[in-house]
Amino acid sequence: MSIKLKFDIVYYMRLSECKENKYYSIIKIDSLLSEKLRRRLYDLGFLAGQKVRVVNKSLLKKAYMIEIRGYTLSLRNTIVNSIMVE
Amino acid sequence: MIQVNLVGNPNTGKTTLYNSLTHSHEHVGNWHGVTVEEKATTYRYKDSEINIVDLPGIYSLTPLSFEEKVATDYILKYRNRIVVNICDASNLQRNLYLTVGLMELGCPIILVVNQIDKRKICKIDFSGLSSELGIDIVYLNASDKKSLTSLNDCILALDKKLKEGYRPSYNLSHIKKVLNKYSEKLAVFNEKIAKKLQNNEEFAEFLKIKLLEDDENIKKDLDIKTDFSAVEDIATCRYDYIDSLMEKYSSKRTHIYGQSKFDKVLLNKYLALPIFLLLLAISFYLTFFSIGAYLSDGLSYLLDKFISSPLLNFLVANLGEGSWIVSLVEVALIGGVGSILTFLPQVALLFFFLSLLEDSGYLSRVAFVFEDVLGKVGLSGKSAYTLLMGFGCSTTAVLTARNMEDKNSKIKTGLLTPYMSCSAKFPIYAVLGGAFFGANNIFVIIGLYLLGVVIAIFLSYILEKTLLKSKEQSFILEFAPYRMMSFKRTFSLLWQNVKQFITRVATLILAMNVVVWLLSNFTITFHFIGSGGGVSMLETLGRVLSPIFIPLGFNSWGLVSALIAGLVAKEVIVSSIAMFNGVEENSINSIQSSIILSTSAVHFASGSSVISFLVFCLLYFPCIATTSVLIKEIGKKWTFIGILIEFVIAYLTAFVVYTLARAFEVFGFLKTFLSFLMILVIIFAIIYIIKRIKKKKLCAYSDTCGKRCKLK
Repeated sequence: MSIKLKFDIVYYMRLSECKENKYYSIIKIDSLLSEKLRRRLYDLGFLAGQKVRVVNKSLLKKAYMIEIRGYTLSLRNTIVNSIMVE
Repeated sequence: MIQVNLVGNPNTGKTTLYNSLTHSHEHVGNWHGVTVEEKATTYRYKDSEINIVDLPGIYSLTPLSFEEKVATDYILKYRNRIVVNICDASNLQRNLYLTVGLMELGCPIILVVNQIDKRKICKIDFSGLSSELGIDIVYLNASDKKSLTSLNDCILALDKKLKEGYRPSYNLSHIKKVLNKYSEKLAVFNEKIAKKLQNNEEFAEFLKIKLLEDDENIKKDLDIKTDFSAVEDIATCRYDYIDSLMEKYSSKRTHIYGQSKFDKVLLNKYLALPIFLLLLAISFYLTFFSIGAYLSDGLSYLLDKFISSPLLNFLVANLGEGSWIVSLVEVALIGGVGSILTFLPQVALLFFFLSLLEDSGYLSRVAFVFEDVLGKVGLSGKSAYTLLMGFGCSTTAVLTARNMEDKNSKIKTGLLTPYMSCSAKFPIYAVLGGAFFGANNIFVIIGLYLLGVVIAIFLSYILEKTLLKSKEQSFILEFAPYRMMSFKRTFSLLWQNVKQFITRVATLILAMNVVVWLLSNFTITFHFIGSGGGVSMLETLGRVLSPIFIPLGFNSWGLVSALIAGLVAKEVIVSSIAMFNGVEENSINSIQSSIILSTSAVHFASGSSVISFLVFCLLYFPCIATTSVLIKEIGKKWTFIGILIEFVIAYLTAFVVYTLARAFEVFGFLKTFLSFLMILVIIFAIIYIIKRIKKKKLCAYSDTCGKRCKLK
């Protein structure tokens, strides 16, 4: 019998901790984020190895303006926090 | 008839293309999720009838929000129909992701590349791309009707091929790798899929891909449970395929979609909110006070001079003074309908500014800025769109709440929309406020708009904490590029709104006015009152109900009856008041003076009771049309609860506002402020004391341990 453990032992930097206007490369999306949202992020192109950049943050850092694959979108902090980058 | 589905990512110009093809006037905007349900029209091209269905925008064939599910279900149900897949030329890379998904489904596709922006981001070799994908590509500008012939020809050609037995087969080698990798695991389900499909090989493959993607709807449909998911693998192989295509057929892009140098200022951390409020204030000022007011006065003058006066003179000359027909025309038509018709320029301007906000692409920035606040109260930046549209018309605004992903957020957004002061409520503020406050009315109106917004946010916060906790909060929204509104679009938009407003006035409001006139001019025994005595039906009803409103400071029967009539449409409140007070001219000024001077049906004791009445009008009940849409969108239960909450809030707020305003009037500003402060201090003191008492309760183990520990 095997028990699935749902946490990462290696600590990765989160996109929410990134500096603005600097490109990072995605490692993976936290598996704690719900299945539906993760699928949507993959559909939008948040895949391993993809270059990504934080363009802007809102005043209370609730919303992030993110650039990926040549377009821009805004994401909520909870989602941005589950994107691991280096 | 040729059946065509219009499919594409959000905000790529599906509805624009649809409008151009079918000469319709569906609502379009530079925003995601403007279209929330499928719309179909048939048009003729070269002796063939083409039935085109406009679907809400989707990113992939796996839906997340309500309107996306509508689109995906439709595509899967009619997968043999021709799909016109529209892509934005400036964001082709991401848009092709959906195209690849449609290829996996195996439906006949025509790829339309829409060049919305004049500036080209990159060069693309379309003929090469077309032959590699095995799909016809049409390059056009969706708003330009001339460029549509090539698309129509393409649809006809493909339809001819399909009728001759052609079935599209695409090169799906990219996804085959993943399918092979998981073939062992998928093999278990082969039987179930085959049973469901009866030997439809291609679709079986699509279902397998969907199983790997862990699509809940498909799994439920097939009655399958899986313990694996290859979402990431599949997305990766699709994007790898697209990347290889782009490398081959496209030059490097020079510009990033949805970014602009304006954003440095408009989205500046500290300036963003003030700038938005300033823009809003300017557009409201232009609408209601400067341009709008002048146009409105002009229209009122013209109506009076050329329509109402001659008509009335003619009728009086032919029928005599006391006839009921003269009364009907004078009161219901000229007094009632005329008083609303004069607001036409202002309503048209308001809608113009709202669509300017929508079309310019600024709205997605507003959503971004408001995410801070809205996220806290359990909504998302996407609600900002619905709420802003609520300033125009709550009925159409409620529909846009469908683009929310979370059910509770959707219900909440729907419930909050009626608190936004819609365009129908503005005449009430203008007429009643104008009568008492004159030039200061601008502050009253701003205050009312703000009050609505503040109450909505406050209520949302309470609902989030109690009944409607949002479960899956997500906020994923693309930034739309800034665009200029074309002259043609501006004109057609204004024309649409003018037409809509006039039809509304000519049908619903006219009918309501006739009903109100009937009820207020005939006694219960159906005798025409005319200039003689007698108590009308409406007066009787109004007098029965008026005691309820004594605490709110207004209890003349006319006002109460106007409120009841206003349940159907808020405009009727003003037109009823105009009718009750027997205004001869239909100008705003004469209605205003009648309210102050008259001692008859509608009169206010003081400015404070006017404010109280306005607040009550702002909040008390969504109109019938909005209610019916709410029932459809969020269900009977929540609509009922929402209306109940609204009535209670309206009553309480109006009461508090009246009491405060009255106190200011009677005691002066300083005294009231000080006593208000004292009351607040006392209330907080009481709360503090109660909390302390509660804290000092002993815990259950205190007799055994002997210590007095605090309970939390």
